[in-house]
Amino acid sequence: MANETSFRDRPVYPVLFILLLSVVFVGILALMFRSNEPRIDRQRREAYEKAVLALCADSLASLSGSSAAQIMAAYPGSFTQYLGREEGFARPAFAAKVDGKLIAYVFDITGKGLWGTMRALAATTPDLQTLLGINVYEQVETPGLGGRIEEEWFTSQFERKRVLEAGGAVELELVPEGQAELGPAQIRQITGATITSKAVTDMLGSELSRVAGSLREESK
Amino acid sequence: MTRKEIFVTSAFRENSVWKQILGICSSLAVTNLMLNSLIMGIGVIFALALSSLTVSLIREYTPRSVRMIAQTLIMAAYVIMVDILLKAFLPEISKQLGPYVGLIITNCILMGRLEAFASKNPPLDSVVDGIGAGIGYTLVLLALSFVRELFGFGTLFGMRIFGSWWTNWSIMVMAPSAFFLLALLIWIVNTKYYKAG
Amino acid sequence: MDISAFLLFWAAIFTSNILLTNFLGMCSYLSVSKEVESSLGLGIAVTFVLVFTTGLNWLAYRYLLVPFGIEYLQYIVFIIIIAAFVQLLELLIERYVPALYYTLGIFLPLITVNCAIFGVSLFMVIRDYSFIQSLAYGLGSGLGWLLAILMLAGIRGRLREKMVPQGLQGAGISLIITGIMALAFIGFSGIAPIQ
Repeated sequence: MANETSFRDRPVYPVLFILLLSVVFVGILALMFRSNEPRIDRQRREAYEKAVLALCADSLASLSGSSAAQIMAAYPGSFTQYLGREEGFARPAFAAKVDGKLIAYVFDITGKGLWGTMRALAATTPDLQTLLGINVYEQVETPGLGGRIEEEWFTSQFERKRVLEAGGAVELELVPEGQAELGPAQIRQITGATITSKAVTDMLGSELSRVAGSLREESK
Repeated sequence: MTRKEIFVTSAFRENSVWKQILGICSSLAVTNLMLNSLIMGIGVIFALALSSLTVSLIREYTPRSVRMIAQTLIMAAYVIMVDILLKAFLPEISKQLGPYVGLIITNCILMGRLEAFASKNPPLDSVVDGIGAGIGYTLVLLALSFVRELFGFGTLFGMRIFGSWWTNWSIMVMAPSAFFLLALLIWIVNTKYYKAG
Repeated sequence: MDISAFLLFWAAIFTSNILLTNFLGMCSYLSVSKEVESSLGLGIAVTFVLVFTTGLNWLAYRYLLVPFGIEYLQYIVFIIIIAAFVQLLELLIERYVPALYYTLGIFLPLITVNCAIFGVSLFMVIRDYSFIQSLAYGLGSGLGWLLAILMLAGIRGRLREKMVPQGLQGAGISLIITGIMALAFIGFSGIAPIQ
């Protein structure tokens, strides 16, 4: 009896232990993930659609008779009413229409940030030359620093900015954050996050040129 | 040791950051804003409490040769669980915490506490120790971010404190400032509280 | 990602030094840098772990996580691979280089949660590196970390005890030195933009 090794001392025990532990925890995680997946996906889709709607809300308001706030509150009804997917562009696109009249496009664009890929929604006028606004909805930049490109003060700078001209993309110039006066082709960058700030302007320039290029192709 | 003593020790006397020099990476990265520090701190407290409990419960059965793997697995699992629950029920907060989930898993404090305490002590004591360490860590983070956010952005928790007369100190926004501030904190704590011991 | 592995290697050491630019891998760095010898030992161990685990994690991501659609488990899979590898390394060091084993103490198992190692694997996924790029990045990051810890150990060795106020000895002064080094390394940042 004294020589008998307990099960715990056998060499196979640690392996089984870890295996069991892994199965239990990964199992719990998988269960949690799968059961919450529908909810998480739905929330993501809603946030995305609301962002698209929000970018067009002001333009829609001027023509539709409802205020921007009313349009937002009427989601999801207002989304299906005014926005529809548009094919034929180099990037996923939505067209905002009131009674069949096109008032804006929203493009889903991507670019390379400091730490990884960033994705944004860019709303433009029907001629694609002026931005109505942008919304950076996915980025992995430094939180509190580059991550601030999602903040309102930064994105609102892009409203009504001319981004395309006959010759191509307008080069947006980055100026210090504290600069008081802002020229038509200037954007205040985030202090300490110059690379990330530039990544946003670069993304807008190249992506919108690409989209405009595909439009030109179509109309030929 | 009484539970209260365990708490005070892990939160203050043997504070993970200023005494044990653990959890430094995140202390530098998230302390630019107080809100980020708070969220990170809460995440760490949760993860520490749950993992300490679990590791302690199975400590009798955990073979020495795989204890690290076991501890890592458990702590990573809890952090991800917290992340999934946040994504599902508090998506706004989860968006803030998102990038930090990875940082919590590799926060040396977790591994350090699990290895040093939870793997050798009863469950409830371990939970107290875990929560204490987490709170101690959170307090340090809040102290650092208080200075960094105030002088770097003029705000606290996003609320403007300094008016437009204030010019932001860019150094506070960049991470090297956290190095200097943390050194300052350690200096103050060492001089005032550890002089006797 | 079209950056050459070779350029990536050099960038990982200087312009994107995992410790001085990304601030990962601090804990063991601060505590072990008292002596040049143990710093060298730990740095080499970290580099070794970095190269192998980055490679293994790349394979795991590509051939296990993606095909089965379980990318959400990447944190667990990566950290398990790292933990297992470090455990193996610990056993080997204990057997063949016991002096190093005793010097490093708790910091050997702490390599597992060295955020630098985990961070490198996460970056590799986020930036979509190829296998060769990942290895180059892992090796460069390891050597960059080694460089940082050696520099700190060297400077601390030169610093005579009396020069430093008592409250700052140890971690305090190391943090200040590192802060200054980090500021200096920011000067490298325009040279090879991989970030």
